[in-house]
Amino acid sequence: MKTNGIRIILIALLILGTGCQGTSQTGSSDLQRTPDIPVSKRGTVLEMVSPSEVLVEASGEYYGVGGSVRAKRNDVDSNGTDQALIDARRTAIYVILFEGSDPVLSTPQERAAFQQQSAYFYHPDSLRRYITYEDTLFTSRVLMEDGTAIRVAKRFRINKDRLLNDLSDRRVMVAREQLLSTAGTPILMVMPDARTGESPLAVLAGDTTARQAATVIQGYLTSKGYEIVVPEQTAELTNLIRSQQTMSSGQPDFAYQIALSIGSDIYLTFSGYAQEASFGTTRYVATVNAYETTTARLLGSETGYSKERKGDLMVSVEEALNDAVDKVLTRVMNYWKEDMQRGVQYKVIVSITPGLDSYDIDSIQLAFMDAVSDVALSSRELVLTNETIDYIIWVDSAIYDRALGVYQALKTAFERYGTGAVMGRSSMNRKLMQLTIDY
Amino acid sequence: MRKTLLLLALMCCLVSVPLFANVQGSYTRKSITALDSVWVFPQSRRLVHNEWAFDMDRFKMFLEHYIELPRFDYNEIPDSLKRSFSNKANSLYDIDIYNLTHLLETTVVQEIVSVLNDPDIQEARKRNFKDEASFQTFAATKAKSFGYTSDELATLFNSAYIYLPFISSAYVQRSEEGLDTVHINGGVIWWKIEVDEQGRTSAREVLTATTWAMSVIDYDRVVHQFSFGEVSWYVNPLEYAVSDAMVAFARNLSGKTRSLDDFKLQAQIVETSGRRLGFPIGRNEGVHLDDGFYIIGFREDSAGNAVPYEKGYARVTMTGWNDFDPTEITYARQIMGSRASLGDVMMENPRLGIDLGLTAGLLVGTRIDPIHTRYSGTDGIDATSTNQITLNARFAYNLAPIVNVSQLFVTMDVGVGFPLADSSVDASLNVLSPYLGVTKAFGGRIYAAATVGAGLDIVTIDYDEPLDEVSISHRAFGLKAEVEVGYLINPNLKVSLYGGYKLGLSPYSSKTELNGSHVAPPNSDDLQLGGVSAGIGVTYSLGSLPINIFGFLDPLKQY
Repeated sequence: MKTNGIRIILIALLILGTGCQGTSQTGSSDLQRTPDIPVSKRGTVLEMVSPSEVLVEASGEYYGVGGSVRAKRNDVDSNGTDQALIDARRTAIYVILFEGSDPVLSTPQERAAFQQQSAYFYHPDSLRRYITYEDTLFTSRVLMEDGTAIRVAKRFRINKDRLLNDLSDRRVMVAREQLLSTAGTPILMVMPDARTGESPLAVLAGDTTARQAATVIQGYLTSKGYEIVVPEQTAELTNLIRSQQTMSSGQPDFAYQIALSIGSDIYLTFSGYAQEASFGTTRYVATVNAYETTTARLLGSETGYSKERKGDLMVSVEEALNDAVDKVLTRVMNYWKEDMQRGVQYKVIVSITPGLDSYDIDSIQLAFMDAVSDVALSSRELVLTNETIDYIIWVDSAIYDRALGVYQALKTAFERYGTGAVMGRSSMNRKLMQLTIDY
Repeated sequence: MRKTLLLLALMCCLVSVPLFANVQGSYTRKSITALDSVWVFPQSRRLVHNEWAFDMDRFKMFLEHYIELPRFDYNEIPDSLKRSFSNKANSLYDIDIYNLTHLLETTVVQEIVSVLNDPDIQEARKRNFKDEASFQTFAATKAKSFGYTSDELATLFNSAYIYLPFISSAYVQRSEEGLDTVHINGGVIWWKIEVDEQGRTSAREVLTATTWAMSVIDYDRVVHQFSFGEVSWYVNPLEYAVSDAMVAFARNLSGKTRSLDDFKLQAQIVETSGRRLGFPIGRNEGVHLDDGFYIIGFREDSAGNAVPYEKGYARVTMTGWNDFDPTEITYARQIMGSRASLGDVMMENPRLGIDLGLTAGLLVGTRIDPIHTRYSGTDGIDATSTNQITLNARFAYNLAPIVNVSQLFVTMDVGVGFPLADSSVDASLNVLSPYLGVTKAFGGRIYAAATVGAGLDIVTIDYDEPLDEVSISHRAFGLKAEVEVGYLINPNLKVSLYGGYKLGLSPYSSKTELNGSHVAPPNSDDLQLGGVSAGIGVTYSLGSLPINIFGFLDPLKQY
């Protein structure tokens, strides 16, 4: 009899409890309980472990559900750690996608597309694929709000490449390969940032650290599928540089000239130094800059720091550069995304026969301008003198897949305007066309 | 009040420890330096060094065993430096902690830093300073570089300690009853070496713990060997007592050392299954079976700080043999508090492994007849006594770390029984019962225990005749079995109810003394000192004890 009584009371309590819980879930349905969206959104990228992996520390939160403080506490006691841990994993992904100065999803369109598919990316199965390592121990685990909520923090290693592949597969963002292809498979060049008047090639030849740094950056870029051109000290190159120098005034920018000469789309310069740190350790500080070759426009600049450690300088060099290169490349990618619509870029320098009268010069310049308008998707005039025209032009890569094609089109269009002048070429590579107009 | 103090201690501990710790509540191995000397206060030097059998080498051996715990690494410095420090310290008459600290800074601290700078030492201890994520970095994965970073070096240099035991007084005291007792008073001072980023060093006193120990000199002692673990040596009664007191003294210092927040073992819970908790420390740090650990959670205060709070208590059920396999973890069973979760921190509750129990009860079924108390026609008691009020003090030494059986104790108890009987001659009647036994306990916060023991019951009846003092005594062997159910009020204190049966054998010795002289023995027929007992008791888990009980077993702890 007594047992039956206890049973009835227990069942009644259970029903009441379930009722309360149901009310609170459907009634308040806290924002924090919204599935598949990280609640905490607090995390830090600790380190680029490799070109494809990053070490992240992320926190996760869980807010207890229930009709009373006690019920919420019980919920946190029972489910809090597990749920907060899932949130921390989501936050780790979130941090890579949205946080920092160079998030993976940089445009509003990408972010909007991601919102549509966030459930897939934040699903525990997906998280398991992206997270290649998770600390056994929590960095911290703290109850909040009188025990009705919990926050945990852990370190994760995320395979960023897998995440990026999924993002492109699901058309959230354009795949890097596609982007590169659309941009005409751009070529990158890596050069040390030499002191004024010093040739980067000489620095490369004489400085072991610089050679190591160049190798690290080149290795990083090749692992990402970029096409790299390695400048070499050749007579041809020297001549090209010399010819560039004649056009510039003041101190020559060797890196720019080499890049231009060998036809890279973007060139990266790097510099660095070892700094004494605490407890007799050394820290390496590396700076990487990325420039658009045709204009020498700075696309991105970033500094990377190694850990302060004893010895192992080359490890520190690579560690610092990994950190910097990744961020700079993200900016370069963003630049390409924006530039994709504009087409493939060329720098066109035209030398006009000296000694012409102003009428002839005008007609030549106007005809050249018209020819550029006919051929290029867009253009920018940099220099216009009686003897020199310096232009940046963007052409459709689908129509003009090589510099010679562009040249041919320009020549045809220019000569069609009947100025009587003849267009020729003195040198040409995939980014630079040095042309002549003879009258 | 006690709880507040505990929480304050926890806060200090958990705030101070994560010097390096990137994870909440992890123990970073400390390195220690022994100065191989005991600082004897000037007023005691004559006694210790000259007049009696104070074997300083034995004393250092005990200190080494109890203070240089597995949780520490050991920084060896040249003997010449130790001697230099020792000579300078002992040559000073007016010396205080500030002078000692200065002396350390000028003699040994730099040398310890040099030791820590030794590439071999750094290589050997590297793993202590690398957390799990350190092996996931670029440097570790691609570059295979496991060199120290500045953070790790800061931890290495700032986790070195020096200890110096001291004796403030040591003497033999004779009591009014003529008992000679050896007393040792003193303690231990711990300094922490601090190294800043520029390499400047200093020593900071972090603990001065005092304790005392004593041992009665038993001039009738037959055994002339003193044993400590597997070693033993020949001693005279005085030397035995001195060694005995030394063990108690050193053991107390061990407890005091382990109570220092920096030295408390702690680890995050990485595995839970119901109330079974796994955490990644073990034998390598000196964890033993049945060791107690507080379960610490953290909550955020209004200022956003993580504040530790005591969530529960757990007892080790399986020690991780991480000295052989670093991945082995220790398992404990939660016995108090709300359910622990992954990420909660286990924090050591340093105790001696000895419980002191006090019980009060009733023993029914004994039989002491007037004839058993009779001398020359006068009876000590007027009628047969069948009941006794009993008081009992019991020391229980936990054998678990030695035999790998949880909650198995060897017990030594002394009971005093007061038979309920009227006496027209105002006799003093009591039963003294020293027993040795074995107890096995089961359960958690609510527990049951069974004890079997054997010992002696000594009945003493003293009364005064008009002209004479009569003293009658009977001695009989006894066997007893008890069961006990109890409840842990807190991790160190439990209350219990017990019941048992004592089988009293026939007396093997009965005697009567008249004014101190033996006369014809009393009748002991049908004297029965056994019976059924019941009572209540409290048991306290000791943090220190001034006498040495079962100390010889301490070196045998392995599980």
